[in-house]
Amino acid sequence: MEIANDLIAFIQDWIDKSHFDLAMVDKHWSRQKGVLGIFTAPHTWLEGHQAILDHYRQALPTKDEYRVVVNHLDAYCEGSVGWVAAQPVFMLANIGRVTTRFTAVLHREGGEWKFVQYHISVAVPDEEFYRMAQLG
Amino acid sequence: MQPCDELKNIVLQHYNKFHTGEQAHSIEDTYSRQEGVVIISNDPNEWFDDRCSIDVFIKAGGSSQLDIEVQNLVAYCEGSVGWTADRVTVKLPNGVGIPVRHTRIFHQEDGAWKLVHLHTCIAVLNERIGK
Repeated sequence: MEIANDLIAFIQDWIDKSHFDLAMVDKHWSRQKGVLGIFTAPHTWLEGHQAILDHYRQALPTKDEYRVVVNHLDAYCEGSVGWVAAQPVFMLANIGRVTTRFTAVLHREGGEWKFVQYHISVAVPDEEFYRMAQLG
Repeated sequence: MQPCDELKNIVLQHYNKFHTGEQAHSIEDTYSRQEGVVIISNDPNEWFDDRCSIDVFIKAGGSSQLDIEVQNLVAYCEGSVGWTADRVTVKLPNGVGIPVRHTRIFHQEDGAWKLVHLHTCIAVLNERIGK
């Protein structure tokens, strides 16, 4: 496995633009069977290209609604598969600062990186976890 | 990419060890020793990407006895890289069940699958984000 600088550049671009650009989403999600997107909300375990595209379509914000910076980003690859870990921080107009954790697997198809597994989450503090553990 | 039962079994065997709290050895054996290993768990401070903090994290959770019920588990691989995703319920002794999602990325090293990423999360309702 080796550091994938082209993948780092692609992910930075993806984080900057994908939420405003459905064509980019369509292009960079694989259409293979088994593609999976896990987003922050409980119901967002999305299987297949179309379900994921629909999710982006429904969630499309305007550029005024948020800015995003990436605190940490690394990427590795071997053969035709790459994987990434990043900490995108969203500055949302109605909520404020939200730090997320993002990991993904990408497959190189036709010379382009395409997502095959995608997982973005919001951290839950331990104290909130313990409250859930006590109360359900 | 193709489905990979071998990786499914590795994950299932790992969860089975939580019943008796004997997961520490399987965790230590599974992690890659290469540069680039990342473990992300629930708490905002739980992003571990150096060997020392990973070892401390593994030891801290290595003997917890938990009942883990697996709802979905998928696994794929291509060449020397594999990945899995699952939804589980962690059942606590008081009857409370906490839904948790995991994704893992594996790299084949000397004929064995070794973990290079683990991402654990609890889903958060959109209206709870930022609260």
